[in-house]
Amino acid sequence: MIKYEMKKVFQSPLLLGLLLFFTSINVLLMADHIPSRGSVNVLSDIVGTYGEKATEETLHSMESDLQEGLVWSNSHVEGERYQSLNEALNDSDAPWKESIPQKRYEQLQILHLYSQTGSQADAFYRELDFTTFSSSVIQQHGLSGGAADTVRSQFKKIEGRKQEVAANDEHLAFFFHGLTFKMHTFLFKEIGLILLFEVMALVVLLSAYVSTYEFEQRTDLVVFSTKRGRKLMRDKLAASLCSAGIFAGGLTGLTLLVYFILFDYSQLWHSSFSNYFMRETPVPYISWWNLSFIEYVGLFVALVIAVQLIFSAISWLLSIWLKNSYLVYLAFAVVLGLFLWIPGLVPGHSPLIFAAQFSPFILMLNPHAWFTVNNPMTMFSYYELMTILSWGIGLGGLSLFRLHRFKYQAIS
Amino acid sequence: MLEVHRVTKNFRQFTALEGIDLQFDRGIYGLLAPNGAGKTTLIKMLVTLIFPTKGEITYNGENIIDLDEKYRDILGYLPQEFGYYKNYSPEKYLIYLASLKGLTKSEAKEKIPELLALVGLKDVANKKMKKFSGGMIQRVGICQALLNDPQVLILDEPTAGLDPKERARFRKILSNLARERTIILSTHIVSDVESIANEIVMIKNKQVLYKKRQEDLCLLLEGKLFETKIPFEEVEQFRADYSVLAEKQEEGKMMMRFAVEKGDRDQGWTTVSPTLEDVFLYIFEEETDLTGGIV
Repeated sequence: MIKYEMKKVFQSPLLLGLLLFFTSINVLLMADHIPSRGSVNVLSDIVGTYGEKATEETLHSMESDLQEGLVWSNSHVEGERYQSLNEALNDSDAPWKESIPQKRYEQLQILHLYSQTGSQADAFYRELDFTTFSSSVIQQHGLSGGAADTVRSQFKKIEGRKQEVAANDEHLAFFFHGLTFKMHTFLFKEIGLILLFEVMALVVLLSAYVSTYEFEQRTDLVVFSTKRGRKLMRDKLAASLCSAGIFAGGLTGLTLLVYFILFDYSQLWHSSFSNYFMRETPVPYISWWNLSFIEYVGLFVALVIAVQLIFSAISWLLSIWLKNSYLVYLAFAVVLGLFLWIPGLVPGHSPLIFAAQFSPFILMLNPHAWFTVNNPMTMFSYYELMTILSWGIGLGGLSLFRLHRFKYQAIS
Repeated sequence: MLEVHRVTKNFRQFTALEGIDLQFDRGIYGLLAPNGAGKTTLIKMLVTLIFPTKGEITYNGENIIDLDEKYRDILGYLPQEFGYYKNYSPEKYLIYLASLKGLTKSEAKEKIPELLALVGLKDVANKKMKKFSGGMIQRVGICQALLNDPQVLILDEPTAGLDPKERARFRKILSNLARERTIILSTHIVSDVESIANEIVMIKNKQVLYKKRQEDLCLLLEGKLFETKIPFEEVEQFRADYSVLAEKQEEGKMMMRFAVEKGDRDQGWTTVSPTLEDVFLYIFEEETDLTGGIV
């Protein structure tokens, strides 16, 4: 029966149209960054040439090539010579820049950027002390009492993880220069957030569509009096979840496929996620575990799908109660608003302020900080897993209860 | 045997049915009552869409709610408002419903053409139903009710939207089916059940008033039903004095068909044999107008 219910979703022109529409929006969003992709993609050549990590040996090798670059630069100038490549690259008035191939100049510039950044990494992590951040976070969020203790305790754990990152040389893995290209923000915050809202819209629509279908088509009297009877709502829940998974996976997959075609990550799949190069703010991104970039992307996709399954189950529960798809959309919007609003009401001295963050709606707002230590309000190593598990178990129980109630509910 | 034991159904403060006792064996049962009398409420309880407030309904001695799937497996139901997927063809929709009724795809593919031929829809089996007339949709509804070869077939106002030819065809189909199953046909149109029902159930004031064979019901008016012609100017007074069941103009006068329980009979009155319609109109006199229409 699940197959028949899913057919209703996949034969809906509205849902398929929206899937295409959202894919187009995401492609257009990426198109804005296409002009910079030439510079971005140079990194693949660097990793191909020098290796995956900015070790001392690698940096030495890069330095040799940069010296050659200095010689090459000087060969294009008359008169006074540059003492360092830095000086050459920062000479905005240098007439020689126009007489050399632009690509060669950019390569030199980017090689210099990564070499400089790589050479700073060890010192940066040595000086970085997370335990000193706790007081500013406590002050910034107006925390006190148990909540402040939680922050202090978490920052101690984060400091431990930072030391592990430095010991494993995770921080030395090459990645797109965060302060220059902001690729993490672009992929996981800009595209990721829009993607999450798009999939949420699709999933709520499709779940409400399939779950209220019989009531809206007025076929409820016929279908619920068949042998299958009220168990059809169980099939509809399964169909909603499967369709939600397919739509979430489909839109995410299509978006990422286009993204990785446009931007060359071919040499970076196995780079450690917690690297120094990706840093966009004073605090670098650090994942709770030693993850490669591809593992992080895999976890990201899995979490996008898991969050959407939660939304699908919520929509199904609203559908079985309201029996009208428009009311379900409205009710879902109210639920979304409530769960975004409630955490703001929790007093700053209560550890409940953190408990209120364990909701898929809050989780959805910070995809760029998933699995990392970088969001002070959700800096718990299993925050994502706990959120999904607790909501999954809660909704599972509620769904079983609603199915039991529905069995004895009047249909007229 | 399908049995209704002391069933009461309340909708909050409103009591729709009270203390209903009924037994349905093989054959056709006509559930006859004006609109709003509680026919659909009783039928929805018989098909487990709603549940009795008091009492129980059993099939072969077991509560139909406990029987759950086992009961609905032998049940065919055509609701008063038959819902359908407008963009589906009858064949596609019936395949879907067949799977809900537990038929395999091959069983459904064998059964559906037979049923569509039975109701005269074979030629439009693959046309979208959004272009169908009300009568055609109702015939699709009859098909779906028969898909699982039900032992209990419950039809709520099944002839709504059917033209006279289709009604005749429908009655013929039911007569053939009734030999080996229970058919409960709810209607307010007497002619739907007049020629085919083995027994008639009449519901009035939330309770079962009669459950009798047609002949026995007609005996209720035996010797009490008359016809007479009167001038037009006397019609109003006549209506006030007698229970008029039907009237028609004939040879410049008004032919009145009426029932008299007690009192003197006029020499000019002709005694006539009562029909089921006469009984229905007489019993539900308050709910009908003078021309016999349901109000």
